[in-house]
Amino acid sequence: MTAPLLEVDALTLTVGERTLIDAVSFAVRGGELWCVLGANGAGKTLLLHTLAGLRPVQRGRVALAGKPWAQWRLADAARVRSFLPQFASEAFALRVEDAVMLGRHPHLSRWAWEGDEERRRAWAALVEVGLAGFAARDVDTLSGGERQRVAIATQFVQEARLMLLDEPVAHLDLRHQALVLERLAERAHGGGAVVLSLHDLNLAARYATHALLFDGDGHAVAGPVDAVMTDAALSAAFACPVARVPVDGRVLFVAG
Amino acid sequence: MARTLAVWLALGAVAAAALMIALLTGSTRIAPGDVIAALFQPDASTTAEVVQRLRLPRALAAFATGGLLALAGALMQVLLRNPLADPYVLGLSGGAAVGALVVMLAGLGGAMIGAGAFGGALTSMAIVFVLASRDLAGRQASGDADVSPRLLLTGVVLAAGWSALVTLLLTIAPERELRGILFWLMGDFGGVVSYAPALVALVAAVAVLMPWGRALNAMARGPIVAQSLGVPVTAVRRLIFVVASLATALAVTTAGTVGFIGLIVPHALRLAFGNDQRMLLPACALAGGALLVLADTLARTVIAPQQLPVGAVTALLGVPAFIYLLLRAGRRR
Repeated sequence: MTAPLLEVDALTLTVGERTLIDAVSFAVRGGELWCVLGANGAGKTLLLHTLAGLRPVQRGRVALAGKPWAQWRLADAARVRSFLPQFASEAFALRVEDAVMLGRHPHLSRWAWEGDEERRRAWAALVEVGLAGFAARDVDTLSGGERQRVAIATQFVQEARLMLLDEPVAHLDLRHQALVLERLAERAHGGGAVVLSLHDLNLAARYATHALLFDGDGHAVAGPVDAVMTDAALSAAFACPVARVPVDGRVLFVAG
Repeated sequence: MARTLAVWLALGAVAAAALMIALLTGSTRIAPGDVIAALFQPDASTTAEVVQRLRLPRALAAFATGGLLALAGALMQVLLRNPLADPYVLGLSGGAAVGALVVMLAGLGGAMIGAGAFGGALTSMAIVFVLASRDLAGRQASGDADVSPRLLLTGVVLAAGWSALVTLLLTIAPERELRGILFWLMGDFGGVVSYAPALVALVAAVAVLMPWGRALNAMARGPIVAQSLGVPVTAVRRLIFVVASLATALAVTTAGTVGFIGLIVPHALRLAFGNDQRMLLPACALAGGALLVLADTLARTVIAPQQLPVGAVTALLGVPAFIYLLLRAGRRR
């Protein structure tokens, strides 16, 4: 059996004196879509950055495709995992197409210039996220949700088997939330793995196969989505009563 | 790629034309044919002497300095992710000025002034490097924090400190030295000793940076995006800082502190041709060089035989150009 795409062993995250996560262990394999759930300030971004190798592992072990992060060359890792940051601001004017083509960076040699092949991939990715015809626009002229989808298209062309996303649907309208999560679920079905943070419990329950729920106070549970997303665990983690309500054969989460 | 070559060719032609204009212009009238003859088949005539000994070194020094400043400006703008950054923003010119002033006040001249300026710029660079070591020397980019404001503020505060020292030195400087010092502070090619180091540095800087072109494009998008794409952010940041600092130090050593080239040229080129660093950096070298050659030609002819400090000319051209660009950018957002 091949190594999991992401293997987390007794990972502990602290900020100052506060322990956000105390010794959590889990493994993310191809075919899985993981949802990271937690209240504001619980440390979801810190966790995703750590998993994505953007900051050193504080305590515990995080291995990407069987190899601990410290042993990876960044350039090689970028072909295996991709990351979508929560906020991205552009300092300079930038065409949408150029922004997306940059996602091919880890696959191109030092001297190669983006060409027709990269442009074709970028356009296909833009179509996937519902931005056909946006290629020549300036990123500055787009709305927040459109920019978010440009970033997701960029991540798609990076073609990493493990995709980590920090609140990918935060700025999206309902239709595009579903569209983006569908596309991510397709990638998981195709053998990739997705780890994303999300605030909408109903979307999480609908698309995720697994969940990691933590309260920012050390307690964390990880596992299959049905086992993790129970009334009691969710209520405790969000410090707010959450009820599971069955509606037409689906389960809806209602707060308060 | 084809478009990039076209941009380079066009700017190369502009640079060649600017150099030719500089060689043709001056108190002695020299016909174009004689200039070319003096360049490629120099004889013992006065004409050849004027072209080879006076105009050519000065024009090449201006070209190299302008190219270095524009290149350093483009790099600082990527490093700090701020289109308004310039080569002097991290306090290098202040350090160079203090170094040069100390040498002048010690009664030394000529090449020693250049050495003093270079030493001062390097000192300034070292101070920023130590103060901002968390951002420039750490093992990994911390990820969520964009460090550029901290780096920028470090430079601004350091520049203020140097500026106080310059004022102090000017106060105690003897009267007869003041004119030379002021010209140096404004940027001036009148006392240029040699152009070769700056010209070599310009070519070397472009050669060092070109393999990192696409990584620099990623850096312009921010540290998290860059690191996610596999760019070793801290190493590239350090490379940019060192190359930009050395380029600025050499420019300041050659001509004193010439302002605005490093701000205006990358900005204008970016507006015209986009922000692909692989295209932009060589384009900056060519266009910055051409612009400073023209500015210097203007500076030495406009009220000839009096010469203006070229820094005054670039500032006079730069201020309105910059305000125009700012207002344009304001409308766009």
